[in-house]
Amino acid sequence: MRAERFFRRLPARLYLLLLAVVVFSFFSNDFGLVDIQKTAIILSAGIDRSEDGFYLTAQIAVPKGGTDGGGTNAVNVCAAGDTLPECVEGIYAQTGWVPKFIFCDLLLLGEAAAEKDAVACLDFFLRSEYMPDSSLVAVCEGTAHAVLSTQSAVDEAASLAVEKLFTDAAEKSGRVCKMTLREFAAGCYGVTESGYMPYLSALDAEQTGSAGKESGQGGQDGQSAEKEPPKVYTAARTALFFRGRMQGVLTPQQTLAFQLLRGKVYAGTVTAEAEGSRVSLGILQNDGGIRLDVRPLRAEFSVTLHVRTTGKSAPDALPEISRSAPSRAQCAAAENAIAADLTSLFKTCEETGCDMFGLGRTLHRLHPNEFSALHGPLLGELSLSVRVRVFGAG
Amino acid sequence: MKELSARQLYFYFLCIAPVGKLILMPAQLVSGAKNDLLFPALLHMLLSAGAVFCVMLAARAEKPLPELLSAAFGRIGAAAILFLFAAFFLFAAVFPLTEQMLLVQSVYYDTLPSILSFLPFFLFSAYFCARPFAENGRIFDLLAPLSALGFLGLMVLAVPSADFSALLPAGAAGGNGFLLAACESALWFFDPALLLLFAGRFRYRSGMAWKTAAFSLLGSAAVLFFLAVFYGIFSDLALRQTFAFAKVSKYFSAITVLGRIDYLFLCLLTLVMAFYAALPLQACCACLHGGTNGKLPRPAAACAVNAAALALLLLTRFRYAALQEWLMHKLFWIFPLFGVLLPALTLLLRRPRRAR
Repeated sequence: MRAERFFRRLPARLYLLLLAVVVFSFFSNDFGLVDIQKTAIILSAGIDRSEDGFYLTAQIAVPKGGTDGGGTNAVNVCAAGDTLPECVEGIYAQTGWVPKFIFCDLLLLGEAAAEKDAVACLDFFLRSEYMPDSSLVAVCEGTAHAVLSTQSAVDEAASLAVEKLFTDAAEKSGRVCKMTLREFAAGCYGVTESGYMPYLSALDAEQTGSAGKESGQGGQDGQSAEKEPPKVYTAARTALFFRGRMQGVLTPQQTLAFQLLRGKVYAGTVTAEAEGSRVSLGILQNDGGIRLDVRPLRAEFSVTLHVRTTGKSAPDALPEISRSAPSRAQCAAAENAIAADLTSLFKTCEETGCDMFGLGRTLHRLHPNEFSALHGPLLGELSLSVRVRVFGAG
Repeated sequence: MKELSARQLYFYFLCIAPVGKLILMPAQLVSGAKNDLLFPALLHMLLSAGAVFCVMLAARAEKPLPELLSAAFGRIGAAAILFLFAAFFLFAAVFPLTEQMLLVQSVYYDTLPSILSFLPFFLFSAYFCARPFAENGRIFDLLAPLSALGFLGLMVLAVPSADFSALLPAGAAGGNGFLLAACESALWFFDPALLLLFAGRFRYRSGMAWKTAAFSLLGSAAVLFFLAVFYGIFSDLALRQTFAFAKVSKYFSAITVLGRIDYLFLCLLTLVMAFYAALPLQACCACLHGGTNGKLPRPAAACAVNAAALALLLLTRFRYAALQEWLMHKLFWIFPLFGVLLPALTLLLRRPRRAR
């Protein structure tokens, strides 16, 4: 009786077993295996524009084994084409590797490409379901190809060194405004048609005084390492975009002022001149905000800082050094410097048409009638007031 | 015949029915209604909850649908209606299956895989369809906590990235946008029709009608919250964000350190979605089985229905835009008719004597 029941149920059980196996493989994504012999794992993509098309530089990871702990070397593969997908096909054709963008964390636009039309350069990446839209975007001085071809002084691949500039910790210093593909595209396709991203420059490590990497540790090409000194990178400036095109670049001071306005700075310093010397004030706490009034149209920028003295250009007596709370005059000097930077930041945005503050978006969301009644760019019709308060902390 | 309990029905409306609306529906709503995406969804949800209430009242007779229809229209009339519903369920299954296939190919693979990667779904679906429709209660019991955990996990990761002011200004899309989005999203709302097939498979207790409708509204509230979070994260880019539920959580700050931990929750929801996508096929089999008065065995119906669904899927594989045009612009009215109106009208059927 039992045996009969067992055999009656056997087909259903076998079917369930088969089902379990295939469903498991269905969810497994081939067990996540990536055949690196056939796949190009793209760490970053550099996009440049030519007269009639695009030039794509893909920095591809080449994992290395060995007894020294492994690591990642990178090679640059370049292709030209009328569209970016054509460039990607070109990489496939040149290397036989299937280009995989799923690990691509950085999109670097050449200056000319950004000036011509940044959104056109990013269109391919926005359409692709296999490209993370959380990847970082930046413009670089010169061409993206040149920057990605440099040898980094601090990492084995230029793209990995650049990505280090955009960590959360770096952003908290206020020296960089990092931007993701999603945020940039949302701004450009939004009502303000504005966006911004870091503006990257490569500097000779020796000139900047940075310590170079130990010899023999990396770089994809020994010859080029001899020709070009190792580089370090800075993204203290910020590129402004309006209607998809780069319209201007913020200075490092304006970039810091913008970050202070966003209230995101917790580990940076502001420097001001007071009492006959320059003094650096370390930021302990930062609050910032933007208020928009509609009758009359007026924006108020407010920044509040709690700071302590971290260094001065002139020597102080020992009792002074032991006091970390800055004087009122030093705080006032910092207030004036930040207010001037905020005013010039607003002026630059007004000139370029880039509403990086999201004022137009706020007006559209909260006061749609007033937004529709605008005759020109919002920033041109706004009056600005700036309120900066700097408090010394012991 | 095994019976469903009230709890299992509530679980279905609270935890399982909402997951089918998290894949392509959010982006589709945005294409018509932009930032007003909540309003057309709310309209469908209220209509569905009303229809659920009516179906539950009709189910007071505790008679299965074929018997309810036979009592009102005779055996031939009942069979004809059941065949019509079978055709509707097969039709309604096409889009959820397409959604599932696109989801699996896009989210779980990092390059476009072959169609073979999705075909095992039909092995599962054929087995699922061969089981009586009313025996899903246990499955609902098992899936509900998975669904709740998956949804809550995703929301915890997604909400910090959302800016809800993106939903303003309300009403900006206007009446045309509202109507367009309501028509385009109609195909996701046919749960009252599925509920018809549970009639007579549970013991009706006082208050079950409004409680089921209330759980349906609660599930809908979860979907509305998801839509708000979705638009809050993507705002003007939301139109481009297909597979919404797989994207909202990846901007959580800890993801960069921990990796895609949200995939744990995504996998839980995908598992629930696989069952939800197979439900219309199972309902189609149940209608064929009931329409032939049990002469068509369930396994045979399951094989035939799944083969037909597979053929439809292959036929429409690279014709997503055409499928969208047909389902959302030309034949969208079929869904409110069969999915909401006709189920609600069962309340008017002459009720046979209540079983003791």
